[in-house]
Amino acid sequence: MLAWGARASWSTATEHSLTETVKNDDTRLRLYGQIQHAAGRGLFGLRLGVGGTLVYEARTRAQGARAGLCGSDLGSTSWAMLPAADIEAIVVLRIWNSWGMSVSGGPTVHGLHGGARVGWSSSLGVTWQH
Amino acid sequence: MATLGRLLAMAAMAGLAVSGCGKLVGLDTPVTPLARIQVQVTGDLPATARPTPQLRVALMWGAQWLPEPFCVLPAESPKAAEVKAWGCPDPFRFVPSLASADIPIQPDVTATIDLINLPEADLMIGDLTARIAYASLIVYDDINGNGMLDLHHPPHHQRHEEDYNPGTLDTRDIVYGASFISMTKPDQRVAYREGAPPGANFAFYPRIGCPDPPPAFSILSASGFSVTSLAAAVEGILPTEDDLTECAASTLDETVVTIRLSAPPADAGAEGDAGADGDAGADGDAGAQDDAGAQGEDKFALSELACTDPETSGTTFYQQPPDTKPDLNKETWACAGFPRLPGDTTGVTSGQQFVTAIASPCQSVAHIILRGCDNDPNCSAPSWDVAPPAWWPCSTTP
Repeated sequence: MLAWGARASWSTATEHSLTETVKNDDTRLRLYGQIQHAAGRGLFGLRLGVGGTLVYEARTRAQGARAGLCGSDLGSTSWAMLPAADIEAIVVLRIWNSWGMSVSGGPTVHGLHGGARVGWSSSLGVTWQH
Repeated sequence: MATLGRLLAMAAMAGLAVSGCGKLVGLDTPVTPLARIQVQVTGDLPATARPTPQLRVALMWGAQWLPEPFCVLPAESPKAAEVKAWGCPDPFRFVPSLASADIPIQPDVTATIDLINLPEADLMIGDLTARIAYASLIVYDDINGNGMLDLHHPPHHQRHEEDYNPGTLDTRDIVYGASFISMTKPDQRVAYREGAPPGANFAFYPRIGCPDPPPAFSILSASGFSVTSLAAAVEGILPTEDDLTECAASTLDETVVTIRLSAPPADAGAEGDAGADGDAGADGDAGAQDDAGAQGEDKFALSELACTDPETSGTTFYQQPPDTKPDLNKETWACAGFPRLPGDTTGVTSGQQFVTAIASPCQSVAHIILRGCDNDPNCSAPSWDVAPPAWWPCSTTP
C-alpha cells in the first residue's frame, strides 16, 4: 500500500567547546512517499522524504560577556535552509482505539557548503489514526 | 483547488530547499579572541645577545607572593646584608605565575597578542564580587626554541626537589625586557577586573593614588613608588605612586604597550656567582647595606622575571647541614639569628642559622640549621637533630 503526505518536525541541540557555545534549532520540512503494510495491530513501512531543513544557529563566545565583548565578537546568529532527503523505516503499533506509538529511524542527507552531510535520525512518538 | 494548493506548497518547499539565508559555521570557526593586546619592542639587543635570537613576548599573569621574613627585615650584620643582596629577590618585583599567550616579535614592529582565555580563578585576587589579575609582557630570547618562556624556581624546599629542573645556562631563556618589572619602576601592565574595584587597602601589586582599573581588560600605567616608601610598606602602609600624573588606564584598542630592550648584567644568573664579585655591605654601615640591596635587585631584575615561586606564602624552609662541606671562601654566607616579624607572639627561636645566598637560576636563601623541622626551627619533634659538622661556622648554642 502506498501513502504520501507532508511532515514537519523540530529539534534542538547545543554544543559546547572551550571557546564557543553553538545552539541549533532545526525545523525539518518533508514531502514524503511511503510503502506500508498493515499486520494485525501493527503497521510497517518504509518512508522516503525530500525537502529542506530550516536551521537557526546561535553562536556565543564562551566567557565573552565577562571579557566585555559585544556585538559580533560576543555572538552571532544565522539562518539557512538546507536541502535534505531521508529514508526511514517505520513501525506503528495501535494500542488503544486510535492511539498508538511509533518508532522510526534511518539515514538522512543534507546539502551543506557544496557537499553532502550524512547522518542518522530516529524518533519515538505517539500516534493517532482515524 | 486542492491539487493547486499541493503544487504551491511543493514549490515553496523546493524554493526554500535551494536557498540559504546565512552561513552556518558550527564549531568549525576561528576562535574569537577575548582581548587583543598590541605590543612593540624598542631599542637594540645588547652585543652579548645571540646573532640570530628568537625574540618572543609572553603575556604572563602575576602571582601573589610574599617574601620570607629574612628578606624583609633589616639585616643584622654586614654579612647577612650581603646574603640578602645576592639571595633575596626584589620584594616588590613582578612574580610570574602563568603565561596565557606567547608570540614571536621583532624590534620596532607592532605585534598583536590574541588572548583566547580569561585568567583562571587562581590568578585573580579578591572574591567573586571584586577580583583582579595583572599581567606583564615579557620579552625574551627563546634559547631552547620551545616557544614558551620557561619558568624556574628556587630549590629551597625539599618537596620541590623531585621535579626541580634548574636547566643550564645553555638552555635557559634570556629576558631582555618587560612592561612590568617591579612596583618600584614605571610600568605598563595588563589588567583584568571583575566586579567592583579593588578597595583602598588592596595590596595585590597596589597602585595607591591612581584611579581604579576599569572593568574587563585594560592597560594600566604608573610611575612606580620609590624605595623611600618601603619603610611605610613594612609598617603596613601601602606606598603611594611617586608621580600621580603618570597614572593612566586605557583600553586595549588605544594603547600599544612599549617595551624597551635592556641588557641583563652579564653575570646575572650565572652558575654559582652569588657574591663572587660582591663585596656589597662589606664595610658594614647601614648605607652600604641599602646599597647592597639595590645592587642585587637591579642585577637580577630581568632574570627574576623567568623565576616563579611555588611557595608564595613567605614561609621559610629549613634544611639540615649538607653532607659535603660548602666552600665558605666562595659562597656568600652568614650566621644569623631567626627573624621575628612585628606582632609575632609565638616566641623567638634562639640560636643561629647558617644562611647562604643562591643566585642561579633564581635568587633564594638556603637556611641550614642543626635541629628542627622543615618549616619550624623550634618544633617539638624535630625531623633532624645533628651534631655540628666540622665546617660549621655558627654558634651551636641553642
